[in-house]
Amino acid sequence: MRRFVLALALAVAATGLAQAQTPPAAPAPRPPALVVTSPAFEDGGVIPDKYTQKASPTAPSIPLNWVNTPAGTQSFVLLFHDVDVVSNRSMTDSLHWLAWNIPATATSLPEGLPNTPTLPDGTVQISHRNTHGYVGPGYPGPNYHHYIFQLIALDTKLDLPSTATREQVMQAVNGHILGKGVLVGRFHR
Amino acid sequence: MRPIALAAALLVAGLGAAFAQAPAQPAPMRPVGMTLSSPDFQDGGIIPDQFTGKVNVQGQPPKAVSPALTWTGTPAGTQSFVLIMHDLDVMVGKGTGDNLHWLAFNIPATATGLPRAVPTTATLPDGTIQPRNRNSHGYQGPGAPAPIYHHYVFGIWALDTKLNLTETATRDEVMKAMDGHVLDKGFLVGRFHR
Repeated sequence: MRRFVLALALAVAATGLAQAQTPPAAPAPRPPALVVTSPAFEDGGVIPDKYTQKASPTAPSIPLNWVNTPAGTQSFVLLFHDVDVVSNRSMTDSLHWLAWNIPATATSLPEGLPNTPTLPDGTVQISHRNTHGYVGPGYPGPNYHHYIFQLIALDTKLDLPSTATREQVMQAVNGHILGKGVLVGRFHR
Repeated sequence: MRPIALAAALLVAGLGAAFAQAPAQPAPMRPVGMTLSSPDFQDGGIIPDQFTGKVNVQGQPPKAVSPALTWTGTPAGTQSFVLIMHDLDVMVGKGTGDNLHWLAFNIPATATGLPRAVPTTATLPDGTIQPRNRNSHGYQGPGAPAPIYHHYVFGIWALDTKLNLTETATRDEVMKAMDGHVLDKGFLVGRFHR
């Protein structure tokens, strides 16, 4: 009998120990996610006219800042698109800016980047209709369109020229994403 | 001489008319695109807790219900709608995918919205089909951990066809079937973190 009681006590103690350990053993904390913001407007808010085609067909690009670059980042890609636009009944939307090979050391983009195929720091940029660089929002209707910035941290640089298409860039990006940050702006004229 | 003069006059008049029209006429565009909105949160705003994983209790059926949705501007010729809700901020491996929270297709062309708390069943009585999100059929509430807001994009897509797919269809299969049939679309963005 005494042995049985001892075994029981040990079993209860072991169970208690297991229960005590299980819940506090939290998974390893994830590193903080990449966050992209703009001093020009709040996330989810309205993009000021200054950065849109309402002000000028060559409106300056929106300044951006980001934090929490993932370890191992080799370059960034920035995608800016109007998700509301339909083109030829297809699933594509309207590209307003796609820049790649943004240096891994960058933590911001200034306002008014030049609309050139390449920038001195090695960044390559395209836009819609064979243009290069930022094209401001311009939707003429009365309802808001959604202009989405996606900043993507890559474990590689992209070996693509400024004649590359959006599809080619996104295909090259696939499988190399270390982190991404999203910023949503809305606009109509 | 007179016919030439007349022809020249007509030509000039024609050119003048063309010039007068060209700058004034913007590219043809639908006057109003589709809009998607919810009485439960503002576009670009925060999704209230009752629609999120915050109210769910582990081991119990989800308490989070879908927010009510309303759309306007259905284009002529619409045969069905597709609703896609996804979390743009989530990474799947190192790929370009993200997190699907809700997929519904063959929503009747006569619909102008969805009520709050759509049942999380594979099919609905009106013929709507809800394939699986990551875990279940129908709506799955946002669940991003603190402290960074994730962006949950709701899109309503008007199609010129119904989709000949079943409840086992994947998001990729649905999107492939939609391609070439999109008449218009409207979006609503909500943000959330725990």
